[in-house]
Amino acid sequence: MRNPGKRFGVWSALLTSLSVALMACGGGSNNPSSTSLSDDMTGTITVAYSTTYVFDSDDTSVIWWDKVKKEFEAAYPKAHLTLQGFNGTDVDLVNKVALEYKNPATTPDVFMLPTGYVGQWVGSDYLLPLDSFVNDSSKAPFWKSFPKVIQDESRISGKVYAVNTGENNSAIYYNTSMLTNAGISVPWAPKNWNDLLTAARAVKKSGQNVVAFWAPAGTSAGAGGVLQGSANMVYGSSTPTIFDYKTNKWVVDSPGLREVFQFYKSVYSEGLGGSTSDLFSPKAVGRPVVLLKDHQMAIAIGSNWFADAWTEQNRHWATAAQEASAVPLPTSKGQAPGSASTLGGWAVAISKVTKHPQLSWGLIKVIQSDDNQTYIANRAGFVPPSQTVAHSDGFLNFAPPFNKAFGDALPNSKLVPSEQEGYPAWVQGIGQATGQIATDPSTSVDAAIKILHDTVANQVGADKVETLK
Amino acid sequence: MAVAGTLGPRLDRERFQWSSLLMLAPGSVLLLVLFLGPVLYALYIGFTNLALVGSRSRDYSFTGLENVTRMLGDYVFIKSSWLTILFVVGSAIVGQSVLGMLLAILLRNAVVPIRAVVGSVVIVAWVLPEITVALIWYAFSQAGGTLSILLGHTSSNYLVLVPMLIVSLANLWRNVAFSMLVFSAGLRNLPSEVLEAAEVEGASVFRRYRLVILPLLRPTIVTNLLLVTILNLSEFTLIYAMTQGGPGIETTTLPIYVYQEAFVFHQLGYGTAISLVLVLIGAFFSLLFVRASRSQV
Repeated sequence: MRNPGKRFGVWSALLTSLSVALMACGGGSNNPSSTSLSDDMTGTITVAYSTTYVFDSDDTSVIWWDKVKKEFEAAYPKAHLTLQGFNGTDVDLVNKVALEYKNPATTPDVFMLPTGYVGQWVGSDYLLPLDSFVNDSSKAPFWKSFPKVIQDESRISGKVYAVNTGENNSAIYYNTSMLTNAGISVPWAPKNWNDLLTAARAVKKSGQNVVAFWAPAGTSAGAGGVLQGSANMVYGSSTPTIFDYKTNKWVVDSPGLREVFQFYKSVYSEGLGGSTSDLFSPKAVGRPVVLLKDHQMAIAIGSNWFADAWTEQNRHWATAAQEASAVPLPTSKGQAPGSASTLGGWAVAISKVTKHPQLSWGLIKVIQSDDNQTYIANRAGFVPPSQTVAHSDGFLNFAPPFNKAFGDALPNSKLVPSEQEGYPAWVQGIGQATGQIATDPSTSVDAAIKILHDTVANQVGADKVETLK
Repeated sequence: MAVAGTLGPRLDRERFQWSSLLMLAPGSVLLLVLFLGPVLYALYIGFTNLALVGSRSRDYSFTGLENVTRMLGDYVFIKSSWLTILFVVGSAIVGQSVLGMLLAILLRNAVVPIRAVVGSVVIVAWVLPEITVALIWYAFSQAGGTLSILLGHTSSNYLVLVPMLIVSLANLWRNVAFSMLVFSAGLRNLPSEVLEAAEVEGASVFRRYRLVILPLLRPTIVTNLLLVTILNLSEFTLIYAMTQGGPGIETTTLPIYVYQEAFVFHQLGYGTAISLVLVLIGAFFSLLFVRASRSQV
């Protein structure tokens, strides 16, 4: 007979010592005090970015990054730039790079990330404050051309941690002839949500057999789908608050949220909305681009990048400017400021552990040149942060008249509270609530509110959610 | 005593040679570093509040049973556990095993051309990459897809109407070949003299299966159940590619919920704790089957 007890003793001793060693490793993460900004301007720096999610097509991503690398290495002859592109969505990028940041040896020097994640990166103490760079006009000649709202976008506790490279905002796209056929006069200027529904109902009644109104719903398109969809409606509602900064709580019930869910109920119970096959497709964010182009959709809540996606280099819709138009999304009852949109984009940041802060800033300078900003704005579908670029012919003439419409909508566009740790839960909650209405339009507004409440409270805790009256 | 001494060391006891440790060392080190290490690390992380990003990605701490308490009050976790059991029992244990057995029996008695054709078709479904199966079934179950045409409701999206049933069927469709192959091999190895004796004695087909064939196949059945349970419990790709856990949380099985917690909500600690529960469920089923295989006929 063996002696299992004895063996167990040996093993358990081994395991205990191993686990103690592992715990020591786990707890002993590095904690760099403060980074010296001196730099011999010699060596290699690495930039991490998304190859597939920023640009409208993957080949333009390659062209732009190769151009940036060439210009950087020409400007700093003793330096070398390693391009570290990641495939997948914005969530995939953030997850993969978050794992790289776990170890200073694998941390990239520069990271181009969605603006909404800057706060969480700062919370991890991963990023270098950039104030000494942006406040020096010789180092940041572009900074003064940024509107204040964009300068402040990545300012956390008074310090700037990232420099924006492009914004996305939303508005309403519509097909001119479909609205004309439905008896709606163009140019169409909806003043409130009722105007939106009236037009959609007219399109359906006219028997054109198209999707009357695209109101993004469901969770399959993730944070991007909510940013470019239902979050715009929340910002256009009578209580345009997602996160209450006074109480530090998530708003899960408010008159505005009830307006949004009632609007969704009207769209889906009257058969005005898209099919669940399109809405719940993992490619849901791109579906309206295709449906509008293929003349299968009349009105859509959509993002500024759609227009660039219709240019010759992408999904070519040569007559887009003649056939379609864009107007700002009105507020629910036409209340001030009259229109609403979310705002979210991409920014570049420098890692705290970098050995080459000056070289890293050199890279940001190259990225921020007017030439490179015009290219990325046009090929990635951005509203450029620099007003010089935003008003240049190179940008305005690329996808007229849409680029101008979205540039004009920028002043009423608001950031989503994606820097808060509970934001993914709110996204999940509103996605599930709108998805439930699209699946079963008989879902009551109360039931939709309950889905949002339960989903958010379950993740962040019941004490971190509130009802606004 | 002296006589015993001349016979050398006793051979009825296990002997231990220190030199064997040297031989075992490379394997043990690999096992420790690549298997036990990560397992123990996961065990530790499951009891912390570690986050992927944000302040708790650096300043995380051991939180005792906090994750367990949270789980007990987490309605998504409870629904998710139920869906996982439904998926494993419905799609794998019952569906896959019963259909696999039926196919194996039918093919055993079929003429060679039919056996070859049906066998190849079933195996092709198994050989296809999971992501391909997901896309096939996604298209099949959409509004306007083949299923809606067959059922005469072209505007119905069955992946939204009965999501759990569709993903379970997709999984069954893909994996049935595995059980069929295991059972075919088992049936082929049955001793023909026993079967012939039963036939000569005049036992009906039903009695032969019930009293002779199935009892003889018992070890094969248990092995099959064990393997399909373990394989299906951690099924992620197929469900995620088809529904991402939706609509709502209708197909959020535990592996999908683990992914959501860890990589969507960034709660690495809580996500790991849920994955430990998944391991416990797997261990429970495995013990059940191992026990069943020991109580032999």
